[in-house]
Amino acid sequence: MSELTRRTFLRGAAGATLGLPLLESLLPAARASERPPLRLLFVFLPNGVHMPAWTPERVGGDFALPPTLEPLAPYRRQLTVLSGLTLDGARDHGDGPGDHARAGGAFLTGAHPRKTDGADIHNGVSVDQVLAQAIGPATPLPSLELGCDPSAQGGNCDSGYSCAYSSNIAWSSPTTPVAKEIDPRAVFERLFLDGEGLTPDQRARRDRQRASVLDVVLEDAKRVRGRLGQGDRRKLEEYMDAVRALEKRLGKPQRRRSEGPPVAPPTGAAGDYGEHIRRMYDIVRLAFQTDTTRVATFMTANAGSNRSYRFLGVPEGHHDLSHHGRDPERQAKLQRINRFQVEQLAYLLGQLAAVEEGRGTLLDHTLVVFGSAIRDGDAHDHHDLPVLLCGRGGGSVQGGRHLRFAQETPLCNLYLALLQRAGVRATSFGDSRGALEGL
Amino acid sequence: EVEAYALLARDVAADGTFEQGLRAGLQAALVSPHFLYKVEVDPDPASPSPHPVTEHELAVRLAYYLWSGPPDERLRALADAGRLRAGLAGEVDRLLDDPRAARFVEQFVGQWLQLRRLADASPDPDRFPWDEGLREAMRLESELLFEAVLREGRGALDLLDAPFTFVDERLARHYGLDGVAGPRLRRVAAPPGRGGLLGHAGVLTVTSNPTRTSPVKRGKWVLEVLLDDPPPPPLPGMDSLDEAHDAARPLTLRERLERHRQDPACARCHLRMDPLGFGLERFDAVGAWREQDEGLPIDDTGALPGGLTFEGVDGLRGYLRGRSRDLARALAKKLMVYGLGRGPVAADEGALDALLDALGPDPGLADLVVGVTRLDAFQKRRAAKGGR
Repeated sequence: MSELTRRTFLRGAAGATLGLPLLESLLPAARASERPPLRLLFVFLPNGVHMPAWTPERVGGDFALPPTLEPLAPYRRQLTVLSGLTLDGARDHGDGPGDHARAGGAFLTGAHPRKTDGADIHNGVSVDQVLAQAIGPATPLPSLELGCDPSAQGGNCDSGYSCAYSSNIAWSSPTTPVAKEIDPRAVFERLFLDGEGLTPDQRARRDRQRASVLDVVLEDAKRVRGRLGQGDRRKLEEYMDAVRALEKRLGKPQRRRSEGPPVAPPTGAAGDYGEHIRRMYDIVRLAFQTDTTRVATFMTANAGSNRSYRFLGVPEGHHDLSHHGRDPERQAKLQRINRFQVEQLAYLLGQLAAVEEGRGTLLDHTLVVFGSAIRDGDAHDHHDLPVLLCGRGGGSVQGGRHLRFAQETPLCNLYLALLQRAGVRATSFGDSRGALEGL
Repeated sequence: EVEAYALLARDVAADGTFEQGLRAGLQAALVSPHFLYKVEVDPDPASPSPHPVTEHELAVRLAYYLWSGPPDERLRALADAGRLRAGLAGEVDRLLDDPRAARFVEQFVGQWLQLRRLADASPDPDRFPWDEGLREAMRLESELLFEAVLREGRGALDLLDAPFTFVDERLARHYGLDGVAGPRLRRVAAPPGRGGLLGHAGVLTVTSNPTRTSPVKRGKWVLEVLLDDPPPPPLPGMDSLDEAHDAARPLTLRERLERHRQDPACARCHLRMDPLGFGLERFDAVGAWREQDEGLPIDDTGALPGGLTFEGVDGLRGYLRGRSRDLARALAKKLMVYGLGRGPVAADEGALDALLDALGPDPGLADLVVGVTRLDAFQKRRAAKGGR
């Protein structure tokens, strides 16, 4: 295989890129002969959705795309609209308000998060992290967590629920949220420009050095741990887990990052929200394409986001608007926000569809779950959630249909079905009652 | 402690270059648990009894409280010699006088007054003048007031009632003040209604929505931030504020909120919150003074449960002045939470009361700040129990 480096592509003015067709010779040797692996992305929308413009009237293959879903028309055959799925963990079950944080926490875990704004947060393991533990070892990065809003991991964000619940959808253990990256430029550099310009020898030495650094701090942590009280000890153990995970990653065979058509390094989207989202989607596409990871999550905004969408003619805060009180004007504005997010999704699907891979495209080998943990932001209900499944998952999903499931069918049934398609030997996930059928 | 890191640097240098060895040592130090965490040991981790923190641990607590950074040479030397506790009062004064205490002002004010949310504020530019210069000036105004009250030995209540404030040209224009030119904030006599935090545009903006004021948010802010008496969360099903307009006659915001408060389940909390916010209704969603709300007259009277009424921001201020002990105590608690980096626990209440009693009816802001360092909670610790 030729020694093309990123520098070859990016020669010229800073940020200038050359569009080069994807050459078969650049693909990792494995991929040229095997079937491309399955990739999964989970996208979170806050505050629910205006359902009348989202849910198609007819069920089956012959349904019209409602106004909010119209931008997905070119990808209709890769789209499955799912109706009737329920997230029971997000319901209050006597815990009172704080629905946004609670729903955010439950979205990918199916658990009922413990209501606390203190240190004793307790959720479940999220489906993406189960996937990361199963198929993550095959890639340099077990999973990728992205978002647009800063995270807070402590403090009260929603009526007594910790900010950890509203800032994170990925949970690697019931007490460990996986923090997300929100700066496209920083992620890009970390993932794709790391080790830039180093020879393999140099890179190997650098990795040895990093391993030594991690050894030293791990030993130090072990020494300290014995002298700490129990509560502090747990905190230190989280630290030690993070160090060990880093060590494992160092041990992996070095993956060449120069593969694939280059993408303009993101310019650090200040102020243009659409641009910010699209740059994050670019990174997902690039990460999948280069097999840097096969599992990703993306929070378009934090749970309960009160973002203003002025550029859409919707200056009010999103959360405030979502309490629409059945005012048609407010609902129309909400629908505009929903449609905007779907337009960005269409952009992502276009990106994935443009990458040829094996006997199809990257989109053919990917599954994207796109939805919200709240159905209607005013009613704060959690049944019949707005959920889309995009992509065909390597032929494991038929696509091009609107499926309606029986009332109270757990959303986790979908997640279980996805786990099984990824080769995970699981018989349940969250509050699932069996793998979703008919996909 | 240091040896392992030095050995690392040496080993890496042997495998590579001297610089790489140095880098590795530095990298290790920067990701070491001792750098990322404030490590405090419990000699007997199984025992729940409180014990004094070590001299070095005390130095770290002090430095992070007042400087948001690690101890300096002098603090460390005192701790090395075991003389920090004995000389604590002097050291606290020294730290407060040091320019690094500006970080304390910035961090504490941003967190206490919730002004950090200014960074995310997005008032509708079609309705309100809004730009980055204004956002920045708003934040600085409150920080400068706090700093002035702190450094000039003023009473903590001056935060509520100061006869002065700080503006630059942009903020002055926002307040309708003439004669201020340039981007530097400088002290001016407070315009009518503006003396003290309740008149600060930053506070008034973070307690508003993008397109309108929110008396509910403002009332909640006064209760939470100033009085440490937060309203309980809304009951299940109580999330929405029905904003239906009566098409025949447009309702003022106040009238719309009145309707809602007629529901006894909501009224329980709203009768405590809303009147406080109504008192500030003459400040719009970016804290500018207004005589009308979208063409409708403004009614900024507030009536509290128990019969007390007041009018406007001056009236609200007067009411709060009558609760000076609650204000001082709330501020002391917030300072304690900030200084300790943990939430309050039941045992703190008695200690705070004792502190307030000792300081008398009109404590200086500096006295409160210093008082936190004398609390047992600041000088001692105990092993936390394992979690569920």
